Amino acid sequence: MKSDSQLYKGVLNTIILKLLQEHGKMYGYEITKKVKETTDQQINLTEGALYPALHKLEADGMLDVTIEHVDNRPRKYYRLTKKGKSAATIKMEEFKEFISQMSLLLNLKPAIR
Amino acid sequence: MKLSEEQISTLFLFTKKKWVHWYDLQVELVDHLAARIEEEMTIDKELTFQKALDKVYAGFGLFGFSKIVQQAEKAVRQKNNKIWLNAILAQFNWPNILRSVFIFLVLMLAGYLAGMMIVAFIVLTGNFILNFISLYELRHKQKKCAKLLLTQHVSAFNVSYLFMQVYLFPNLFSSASLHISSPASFFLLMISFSVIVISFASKIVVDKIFNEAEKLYPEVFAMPAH
Repeated sequence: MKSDSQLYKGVLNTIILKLLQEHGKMYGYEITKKVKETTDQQINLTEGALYPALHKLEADGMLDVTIEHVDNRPRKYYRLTKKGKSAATIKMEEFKEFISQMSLLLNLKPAIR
Repeated sequence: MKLSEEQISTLFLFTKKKWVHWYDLQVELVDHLAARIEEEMTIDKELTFQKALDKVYAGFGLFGFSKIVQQAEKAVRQKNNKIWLNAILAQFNWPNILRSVFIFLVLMLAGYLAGMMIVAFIVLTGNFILNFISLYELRHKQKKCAKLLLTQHVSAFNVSYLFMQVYLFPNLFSSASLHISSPASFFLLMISFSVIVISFASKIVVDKIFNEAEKLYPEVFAMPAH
């Protein structure tokens, strides 16, 4: 499955916010690795999609950054701001609702309410 | 396996060669490349550093880092614009509103006593000179951290604001009446008030952006200015 499909682009921000909500702070490569591992190598989050999304979320005040020196190099860590934390909860609720509606619409299975 | 300091320096040079001139962006991309190279070299013990780098860079696609650079520049512009907007709006929040109202009342009183034209001339000329000085200082600061994307686009607003003032001068004074209650005088008063508020906001914006940059990348500020 390709991660650069339009379907995944639409939920990229939700994925990032959810991962940061669960893990506290993460760096770019860690996010791609976590997505790959969690989806059993099915979703490959490309760098060309991930970093612009991270930078946009940072510009929107959802993410805060810190720099730490790890393994001979500086590493940029992202974490959720207060605004980002509430956005993560809202986006997850919206996504659950979307899945529920799609299940009904596409007759995949009865929607869980 | 972990990359050596020399290999990390090679990666910084590599990103530079691939048109990533911003140090803050280089940091992120170098870490990404390094983490992936380390992984590749752990899986395949025979793989050389250079071959691993070629393989990892190929994963960035045909356009390499260009899309990431382009989007990062756009995001920083948006972020700095928001900082500007928030700084201006903050002038109307408590307790800053007290200062804003005080300035406005002082201008009103001065305009009433000394005449609106004189007050507006003093405020706008004074502000123009101060703005020119702060722009010079800002340019000096930017030279110091010219490699940081974070601190770019900060002066764009100041430059356009300076030009706006140059444009406003003749137009304002040619239309303003000496009487305090006339609409033209009131407009002149509001413009004077606005330039003072914008100057306060400008100080907040520059401090916020440069303090954040220095906190994240102190090594850049430790380097001598170019």
